[in-house]
Amino acid sequence: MKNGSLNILIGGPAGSGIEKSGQVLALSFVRAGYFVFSNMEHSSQIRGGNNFLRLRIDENAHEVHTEETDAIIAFDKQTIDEHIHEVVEGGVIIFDGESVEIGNGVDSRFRGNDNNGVVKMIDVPLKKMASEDFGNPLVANMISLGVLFGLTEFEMSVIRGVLEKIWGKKGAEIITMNLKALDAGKKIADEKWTKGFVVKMPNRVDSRLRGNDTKSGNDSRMFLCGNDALCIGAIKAGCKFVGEYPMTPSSSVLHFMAGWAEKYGIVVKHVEDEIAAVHSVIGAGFAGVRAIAATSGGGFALMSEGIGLAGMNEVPIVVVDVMRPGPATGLPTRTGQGDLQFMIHAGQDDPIKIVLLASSPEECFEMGFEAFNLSEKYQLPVIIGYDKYLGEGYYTVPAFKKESLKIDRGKLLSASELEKISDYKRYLRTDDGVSPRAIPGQKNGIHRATSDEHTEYGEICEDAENRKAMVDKRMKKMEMALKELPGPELIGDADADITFVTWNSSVGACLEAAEILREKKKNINVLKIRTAWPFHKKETKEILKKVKRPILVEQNYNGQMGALIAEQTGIIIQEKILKYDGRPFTAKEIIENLK
Amino acid sequence: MTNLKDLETRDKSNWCPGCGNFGIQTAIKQAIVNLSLDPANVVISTGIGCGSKINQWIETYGFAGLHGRSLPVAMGVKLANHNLTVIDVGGDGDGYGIGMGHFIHNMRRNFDMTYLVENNQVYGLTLGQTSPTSDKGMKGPSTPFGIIEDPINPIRLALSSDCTFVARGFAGDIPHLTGLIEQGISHKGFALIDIFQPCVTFNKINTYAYFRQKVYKLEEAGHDATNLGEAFARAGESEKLPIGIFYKVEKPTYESSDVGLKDGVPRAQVDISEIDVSEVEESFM
Repeated sequence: MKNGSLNILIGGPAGSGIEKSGQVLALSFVRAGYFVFSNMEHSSQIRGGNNFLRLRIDENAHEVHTEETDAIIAFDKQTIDEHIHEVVEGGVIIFDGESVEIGNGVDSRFRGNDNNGVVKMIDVPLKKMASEDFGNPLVANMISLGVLFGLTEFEMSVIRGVLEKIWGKKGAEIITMNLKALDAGKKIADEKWTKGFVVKMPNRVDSRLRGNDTKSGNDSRMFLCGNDALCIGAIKAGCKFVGEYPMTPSSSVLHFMAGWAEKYGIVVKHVEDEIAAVHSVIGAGFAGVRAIAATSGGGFALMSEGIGLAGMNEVPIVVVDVMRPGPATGLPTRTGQGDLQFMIHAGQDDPIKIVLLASSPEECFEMGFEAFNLSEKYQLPVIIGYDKYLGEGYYTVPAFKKESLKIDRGKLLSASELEKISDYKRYLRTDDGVSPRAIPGQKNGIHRATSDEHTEYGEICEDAENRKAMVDKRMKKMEMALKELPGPELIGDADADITFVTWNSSVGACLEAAEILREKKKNINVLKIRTAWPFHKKETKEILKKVKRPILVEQNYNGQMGALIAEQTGIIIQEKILKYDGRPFTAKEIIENLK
Repeated sequence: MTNLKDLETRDKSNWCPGCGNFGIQTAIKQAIVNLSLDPANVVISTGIGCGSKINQWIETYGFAGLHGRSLPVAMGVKLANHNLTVIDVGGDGDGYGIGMGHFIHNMRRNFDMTYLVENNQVYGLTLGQTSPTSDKGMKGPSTPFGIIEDPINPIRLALSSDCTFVARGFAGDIPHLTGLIEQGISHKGFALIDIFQPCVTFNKINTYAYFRQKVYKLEEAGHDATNLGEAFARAGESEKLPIGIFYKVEKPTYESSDVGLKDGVPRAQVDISEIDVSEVEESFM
């Protein structure tokens, strides 16, 4: 435990306001100049069960959680039973003894209200206070947060702004009541517990942030999830059509885009199924609009034939697969990286598509933007894949870098360019495989985009020679695209003794593991794969040939990235740290698995 | 001015001689000419099947996609550029079989588009299996003992799905069908035109002669196309088969109600070169 670093777990049944409480805590600390990483583990039910949210609050940014917990706020018995072993010495558990029973799983040394236990049990009559003092049982959570703010001697002045942001629409009365509830909690902490809790969280904004990397003082950092970052990239890229069917953990993309639809003039259509989603996106792409569909593995399966169609008809579209464990329904609300090979091979015959892998919110943003350029430049579907942990995990990041971003619509023809063409061929064979593209409504560009094999005009054609030429044309585009796609990135000392080969959110856990082991004089670097298809054979092979001891780290049973690398480079990575229990890696877990 | 010659393609159609699709193709072209539509502003979306090849042989923009998925493509086109005239053409297998879900949902959305179903009551391109509209008892290679289930009644389905323009035509009466297509395109909303389309190769029951003997025109029978109940009753007739407009009603179109299209500008024409996302970013601070 140390000042300026606080790990919190809030747990309870679904519907107990865990997310809202987490949001208040997270934004308060972010605005006070801290980096907050937060991830939620929840079950696939709306009420009941046991959900928990972790907040890792620190002076430095983290992209992975840790199980070592300083404070738990428990709204049920299960949270205490399952997580008390994660609390470090001197840590606290805040709970309401009148409604949360301490079970047999809790050692007797934790019992009671004394201040001497290894873990201090702070029993606060949250529900009673909420009802009797405030006449509103809903403020019980705020009282518990107040206790925590009190323990850490957090400067309460930041919080009003946070509450106004979250509940501003509900009026000043609600905000005042919640502030009073926070104060009531703080008072309880101050009276008995604050002195005994060693972690203090002073406001860092004055000393470090004001006037530096901020334009509006203390609130220039965003607290958002990977899905949010992707959406900002898509909006920036001029995406004007979203066709989507809700599926955890991708649904927030649909909600986000629907929320901003009016402001940015985006048509957001919640359609009847993922088949309609991908085809409506194809229709929009064909008609000249940048369009996206986000889904998870099951929905992606329904989109498979459509993704092949976009490849065949050379229609630019962007599809996002936010991965959860499968097959079938699998673990709907958990994380996994099991769709790698599926994303590459969805659709019959050889893949005509680009598959990008994001490993951070910054990459979600960048890929969310660049995917649209790539899809229009090469006239094909671009898939962005990342796991639930990144998609729904919350990160603290500065406003995204946008200066270098440029819209590139590839060979989309203007009216004046089309006017000069006397015999327009939509699928004209060119050196780079990319044909000049006309869209409906343009004179002189009339054509049919045809899913049968077709001539340069788009006419159905079964001729063998034509077939070969058209396959070669489409594959040429893949070859051209590879040159500008983000290649494998070796992070750390090139001469390291061990190399973690990994992708998606596992990158964050691997980087942290490498950093921890560096202190123990172990030299480890991380090879991050950013493009799954087409594959950077040469570049990956060159790096892996020089690597002393590669270890594959990924979240599926077969080691799909390892298989892809073996297939593409001939290099077989023997050592593997694989996880497929639906839960994310921690750095500690990777270190423990390292022999 | 568009004339019929403008709508001719390099390729010539390859349907069986006598196929009902010829009549439908002629009627679509004639309707485009009669309405003076610019072929560059027309998109014909199709799926897979004999009839779905129709946009190969009409010189407008066209999208030939997958079996049963022409309507979602048409929806995407319409929402991307609502100034385009969007016509969707498919067979009964395409729209009433594999694509049934899309059919029902797009009717209730009421996009301004026209959906023509070449209803030949048989699967032609896969060599003669029974279809969702095949008469009960009809035999085919997949139902050698005769089809057991009752056929889908697309007209009744459309009426109960709040389709705002419900009509039926006959490929053997091109002038009448042309008129229906013109009215369907002019209708501001989703227009279904189910078309009796004889398959001369695989359907020996529902032939030109069969239809000539059975069809009658609703407009000549004093049918009130604003009366939903009467439309429903007429749609159930089987001794004589009515063609014409069963039902028609005005309702706001989907695209006129979508907040993303509030400014009325087709999304395909919006400048996307400089979009400021700072307001979105600030919402996370």
